[in-house]
Amino acid sequence: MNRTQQLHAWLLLLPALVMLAAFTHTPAVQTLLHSFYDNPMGGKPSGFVGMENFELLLEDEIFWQVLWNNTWYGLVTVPASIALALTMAIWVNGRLEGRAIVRLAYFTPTVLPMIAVANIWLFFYTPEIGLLNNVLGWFGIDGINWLGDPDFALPSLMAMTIWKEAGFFMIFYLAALQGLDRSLYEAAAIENAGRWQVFQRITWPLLMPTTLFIFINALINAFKLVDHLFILTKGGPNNASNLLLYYIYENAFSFFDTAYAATLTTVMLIILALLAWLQFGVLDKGVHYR
Amino acid sequence: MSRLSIQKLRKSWGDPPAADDIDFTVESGEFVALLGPSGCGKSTTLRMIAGLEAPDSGHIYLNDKEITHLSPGKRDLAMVFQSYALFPHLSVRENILFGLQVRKVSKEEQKRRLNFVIELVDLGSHLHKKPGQLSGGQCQRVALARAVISEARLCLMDEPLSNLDAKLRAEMRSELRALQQRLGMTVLYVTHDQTEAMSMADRIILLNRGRIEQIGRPEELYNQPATTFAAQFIGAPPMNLIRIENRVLGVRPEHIQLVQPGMGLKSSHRAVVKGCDYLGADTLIQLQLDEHSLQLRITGHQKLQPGSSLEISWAEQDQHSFCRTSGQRVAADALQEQHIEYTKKETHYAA
Repeated sequence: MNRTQQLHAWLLLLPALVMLAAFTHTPAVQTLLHSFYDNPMGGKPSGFVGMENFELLLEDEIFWQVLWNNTWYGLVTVPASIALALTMAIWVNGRLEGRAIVRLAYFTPTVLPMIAVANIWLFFYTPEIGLLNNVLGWFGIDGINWLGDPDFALPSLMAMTIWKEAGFFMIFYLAALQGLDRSLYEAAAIENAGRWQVFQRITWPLLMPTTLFIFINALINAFKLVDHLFILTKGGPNNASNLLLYYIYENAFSFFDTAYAATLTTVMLIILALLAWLQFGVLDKGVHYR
Repeated sequence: MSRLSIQKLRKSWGDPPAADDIDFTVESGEFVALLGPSGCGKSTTLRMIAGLEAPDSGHIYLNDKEITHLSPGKRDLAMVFQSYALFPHLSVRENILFGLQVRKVSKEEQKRRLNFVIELVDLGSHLHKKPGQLSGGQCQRVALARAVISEARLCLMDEPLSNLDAKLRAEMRSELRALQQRLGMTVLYVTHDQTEAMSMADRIILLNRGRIEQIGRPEELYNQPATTFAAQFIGAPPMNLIRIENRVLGVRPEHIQLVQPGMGLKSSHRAVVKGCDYLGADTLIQLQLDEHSLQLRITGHQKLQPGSSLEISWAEQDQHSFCRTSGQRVAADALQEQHIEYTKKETHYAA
């Protein structure tokens, strides 16, 4: 490339670079730096404290609980929503009467904003008048305080997340399934391959690139999506349903401990970076791309 | 071995039916081609035999056992697809063994059969490659190996050579035929390419608009086309058809001879040259004979000026006759009585 072309290329990249630098890279670096300083108090500006914030974090029981919650949250919602999405996609990919309506029905949760979804599910979970407890009541079972009981608060959030995410992932699976060559299935049928053999030996390996893509998105969402916490539990009771990002929000904007929030953010970024490396660096090698 | 018998098979998605009144048999060890233009119902017929489409009516028997409503895997047949249908994520070896693994054939048996087919189709050095790393011809061989290894009673092939380039196609044609002869395979082969059908098949089933036009050995289709469609479909360039009164008269371009002017042959006709196509070994000449357009094929490189005139004639045994309304062949003895012959219209040559 000659000089003019180089200049052109950089000029074309410039708007995106400016936006990314201003709103993503600079704040990220500032957050990282901020995690080594304490909070400004009174007239005193913030001072360098080294690893003090990180030492505090290691001793913070709530941090460990939140991290544990988030790990569980990811371990359950990611595989469950992927499995559900795949099942639904295979189901609506078949020759099914009225499949357009079924597809639309499965996709609806995705169209709704998380806040709206949370409000709908609040109605399901509410102790006295909630849908779930009413249904249980018909069978003579005592209702559960879904969001108020520390044992049920996090699982309740998980159920809602799976419901919300599965429809979105289904669309990716559906698109991938429709891109698969029909004649592969015909060839398998001629060899007398059963349904499970076809799924295990053909469909699943050929969907692997899609699965990896969905897996990454689902895992990021497990750390990123906390809108529903604002409506449903606010992390309670007693942090039983608190997640890492919500805990960061609480520290920054409820407790005004911005230094500690910056430290937590740094930890979260490290976790996400590790996950990304695991996915692209390790899992990617076993995937067949067309 | 195997004998396939098809009776009154019909499939329709609308009007006209995709396949109707399909009736034929394939004997054990026979190579039969289903030939026809696109949309003639040949693939539909093949897919019904494979069990990939359900027929509306009719029966399919393999070795006297009715298989019309069996699932594809229970019919004991193999199929080679036009797109090869190789599993892109599996190696050549796994692709070939897929059927045996699914059917839980023992490991030793798998190994024995694999070694046999690998040697047969010459894929030894590619066993661990994925289909994406192979050339079209190699993919073709893998697809073939997958069909051969199943040792099925009947092998169906759906235009298996149509994705190859011309040179490779000619090679694979003779290779495929040799393989079929060596193994005594029973093959039903779908193609739209008459060269493939003529050169490989023991018998050809010619289809048109979902119906069988003619069944016969390649030379029968060439020498005694049953209908005007068969006459025009078999042979390149197609047979010249001249409509006279209630008959259609057919002569193949390669059967028209040039006659020295002034020889005064009784049956010669004068035609006007419209153009020449030089094809290398021979030349194709477009002629105008009265109001009829004809093609004539002569050997060598012939340069003829458009507008010049030629004397042409053809032997009586090379002349075919068809009914103008039904398109059906009219038998030679029936012809004798009526004595249909192309006659000059003297007025044309008055000048």
